[in-house]
Amino acid sequence: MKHETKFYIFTATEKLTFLFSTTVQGNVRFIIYSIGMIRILIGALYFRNFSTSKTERSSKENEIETGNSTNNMCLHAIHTFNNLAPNLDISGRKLFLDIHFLDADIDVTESKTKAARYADYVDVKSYVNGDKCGLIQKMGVSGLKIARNYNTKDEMLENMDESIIRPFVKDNVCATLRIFSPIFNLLRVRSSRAVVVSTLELLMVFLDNPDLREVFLHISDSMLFQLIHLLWIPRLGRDALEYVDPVFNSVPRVSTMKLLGGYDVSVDYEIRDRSIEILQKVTDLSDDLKRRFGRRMIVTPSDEFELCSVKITDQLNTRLYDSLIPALTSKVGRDHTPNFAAYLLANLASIDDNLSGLLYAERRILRAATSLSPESAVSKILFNNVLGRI
Amino acid sequence: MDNFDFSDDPFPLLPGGLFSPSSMDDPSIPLSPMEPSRKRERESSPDPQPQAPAEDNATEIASKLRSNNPDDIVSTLNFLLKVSSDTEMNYQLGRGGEEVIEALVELFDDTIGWSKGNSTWINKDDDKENDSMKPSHKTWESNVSPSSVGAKSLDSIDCWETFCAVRFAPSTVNTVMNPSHISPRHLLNEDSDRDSLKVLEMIIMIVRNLSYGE
Repeated sequence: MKHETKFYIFTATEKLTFLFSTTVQGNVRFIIYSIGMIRILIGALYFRNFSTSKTERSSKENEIETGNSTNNMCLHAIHTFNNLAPNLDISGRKLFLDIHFLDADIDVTESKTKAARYADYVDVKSYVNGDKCGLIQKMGVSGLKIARNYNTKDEMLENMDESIIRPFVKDNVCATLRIFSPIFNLLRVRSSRAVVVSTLELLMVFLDNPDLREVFLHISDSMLFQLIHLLWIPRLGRDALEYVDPVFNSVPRVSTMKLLGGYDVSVDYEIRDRSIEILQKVTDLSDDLKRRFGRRMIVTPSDEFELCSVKITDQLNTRLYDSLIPALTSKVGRDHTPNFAAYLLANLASIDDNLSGLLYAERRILRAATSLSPESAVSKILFNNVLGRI
Repeated sequence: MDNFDFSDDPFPLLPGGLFSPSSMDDPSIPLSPMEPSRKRERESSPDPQPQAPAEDNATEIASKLRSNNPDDIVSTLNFLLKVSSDTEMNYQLGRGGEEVIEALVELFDDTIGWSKGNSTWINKDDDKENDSMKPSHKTWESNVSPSSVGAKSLDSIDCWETFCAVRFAPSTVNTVMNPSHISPRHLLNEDSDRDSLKVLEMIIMIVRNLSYGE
């Protein structure tokens, strides 16, 4: 029995050593597993003291002073989370595996397994603190069970009870979950367009991580409200992001023709394209989200500290349809934006509760579908998956 | 008589001062294991792989970041910024890297004036343990407490997010929907706390660069 225990544990540690040496970045692990580092990165997301005025920029050409709207602490923190996102794990199982299986004493250079081939390039032992890892050696029969599960069929220990995993990882999981709380405020920043664009890209990367799916299933009404709001942001004028008041800053290259243009000229398509993609991916997650999207959201004031909260009503969400349908025939921005818009409408159409909203927009959807080539993917989606369900 | 003309440079570098070019070349920093070779030298070198960091290198960097000497801290930050921004080097912290990370966290806390570490940030209440580990609608809610924003003393703020909002944000952000009434007296600004802001920004930039590792 003792020999068998050693066998399972040895192969489990070697297996993870191989994975670690070939796929995992050491620096990223150090950052993710440090609760303090996650904390200060979240703190940096609250930095807002940047300005778009010329005085904040360096006088030297091709050099931009830090602290302005395109080079600031908040933006750097968002980019950091963007890099960390694929490795974030709210189940804590990845960290649990590292703590238990990554044995600092294992000598990969003498191993006969595949890990030996990579030993020349990556020194696995240099990544980890031996005092904190390799706990499986001390767990006796429990360690044997975990190692056997991991070795045979359960690569992420999905069949292991959470009560075994939770005590080791709960602080890290709580820290990871707190990353999402500042995002709503980041989407409301008006003085830095780069911050809003980067935050939307961060949400897209989060959505691509299947481990974070459950977080998006609980996305708040405020976030939905803000994402829909970002579907139509004008490029110019007082409502535009990073608006520069012409009273204080002369902008000689603005053509008056731009002020007379239609939807494609007036919309901030970089914000719109990213918002549509996020909304489409979020509505893919569940029927409840499709239903919530289709309803009108209102901002209601509360008694406490003059704060306002977003509530969903039973009325249809006209703002969503009014912002979305012009994107079906848009010629600016990303090529696949009309496809995402059509898929988003198809997602909404798959729920009977959204029928009234589709009837509201039916004529305009039909006009958009017929204005496109019958062979185009957008047209087919609109006819088959949207209009066909009305 | 020295005559410094700062009119062309909004952020002048004082000779020998914080962030001066001379501090980048501080010989006390262990440059040798990770020092990037110049392009011409790299072309002639048969092995383009950078050398592995010395075993005690991370420990040494961490101890310098924890030093009481501001020059040590600044030169170490400059060193880390320099090596971490070299994309071809792919700088790895190596053994003991977690000490560097923790030293950066401590330096950030000291600079911003936060003395409570992680103790008040992570919920230690066992009754709520299960709730705090599960995603919910509260996961997306702002943690900034408007009632604490107007606190007279920074020490009385227990919430990390509220503390950062008070220190970083002008009076336009960080409540759920409406602008709050944050007093500007605690705000870190460009005029009075420029060096502190620069240190905080360098720390975040170093972490960002490290996160790009292949």
